[in-house]
Amino acid sequence: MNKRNLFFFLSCSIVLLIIVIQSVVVPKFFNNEIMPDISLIAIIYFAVNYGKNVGQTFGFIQGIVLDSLSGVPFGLNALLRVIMGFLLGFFNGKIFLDKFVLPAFFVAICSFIKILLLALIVIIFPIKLNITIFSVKNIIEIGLNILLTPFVFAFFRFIDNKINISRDNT
Amino acid sequence: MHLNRGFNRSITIFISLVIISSIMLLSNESFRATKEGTLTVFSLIQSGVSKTINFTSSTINSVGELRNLKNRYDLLNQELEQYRAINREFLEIKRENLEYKKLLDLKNNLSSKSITCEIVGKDPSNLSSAITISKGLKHGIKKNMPVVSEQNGLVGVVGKVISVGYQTSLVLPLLDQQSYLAGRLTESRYEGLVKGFDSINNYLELDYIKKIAENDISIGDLVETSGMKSLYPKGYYIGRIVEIKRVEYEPSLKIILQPIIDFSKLEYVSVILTEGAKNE
Repeated sequence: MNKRNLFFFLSCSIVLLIIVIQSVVVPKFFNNEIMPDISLIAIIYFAVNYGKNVGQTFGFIQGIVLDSLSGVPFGLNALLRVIMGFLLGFFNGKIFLDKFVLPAFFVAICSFIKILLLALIVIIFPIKLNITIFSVKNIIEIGLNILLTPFVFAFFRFIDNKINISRDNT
Repeated sequence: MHLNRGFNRSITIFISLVIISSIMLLSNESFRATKEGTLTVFSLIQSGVSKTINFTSSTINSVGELRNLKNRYDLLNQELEQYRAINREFLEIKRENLEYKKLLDLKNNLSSKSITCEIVGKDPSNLSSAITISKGLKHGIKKNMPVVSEQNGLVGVVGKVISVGYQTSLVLPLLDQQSYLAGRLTESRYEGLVKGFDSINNYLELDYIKKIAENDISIGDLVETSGMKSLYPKGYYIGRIVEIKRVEYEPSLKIILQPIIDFSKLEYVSVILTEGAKNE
């Protein structure tokens, strides 16, 4: 396994682990059970920094795991995150994400787009899922995503620098 | 050209993944095994994380819990002390109750009317073995009234009232060397005079039993009040023979008795209300 694959595998595993831990920890300490979408933040980071292929593959794997752990129809998160990864991959090499402001802004936009995309998938596919685009739950989730983004980005940047892999503009 | 090839590859991957996802989404049941398999793998991690968190939080909570337990322990200790005090009180009351029951039985057994009294004091001068009882003139106690009590199922003579106060009275026990009363051997019916002999070792002496009675009496025989010319009514036990001495130069036997009543255990007594006691 080369450095690049090792980095992706490691990052993907860490994100999955965080998601699993998050699914256990949050309900124990908070009542509202609204969690930040760490997976989406990771997809943004990888898609913008490493391109469409990495973004969508990353999104697909994350989606499969999320579908398994959640009660939504199997494939919903996979489809959603593949599309997100692919679309975000278009920004690869075109924008520069600094440490705080731009990532937070980008994540906020992407979180909202994710909800819109979810609503669209629910319309296209015969899925019984109640999606409200403008809801307090969504606002809280977007807020949590914004708060967590600098930390998640800093974490990946740290691993990135340690492994020192080359960027691929695809 | 290179970029185009890369883009095409991305599009191919994207379309493939979208198709796979869509198929999964449309034929949900077909991928149940995949979902369950993935869930199984990650549920193991979830379970492990959950257990770790539970263990950690319970360990952290246990520190606070220990503090709570300490406070609770202190409170319970205080409560335990209170209950111990209550228990002591209860045992005391139970014991008193038992005593009262005995006295009630004694009172029912007594042929004459009587007053139950508690021993509230002893002679402070140490010059006599007199005891103070809790009833006096106010309650109808008169001088020379006989005092009895019950121990081990036998009603025995304690002594007589020698002084009456308004609230309390003084009783001279049988053991006192100033005490005299007429006694009779329960079995052989020989009569004699019982007097205090050794108040320290709790012995009485029975005098004036003729030597001819020697064959009819034995150690362990009971002696009771004779009722003859005495302020003590007939039939109350005085003591039990522990020693019989034959003195050559004396016409009668010297008999040592152990009182029926163990004075060291005495707490309650009954004063028998005899008529004309004061005059005797």
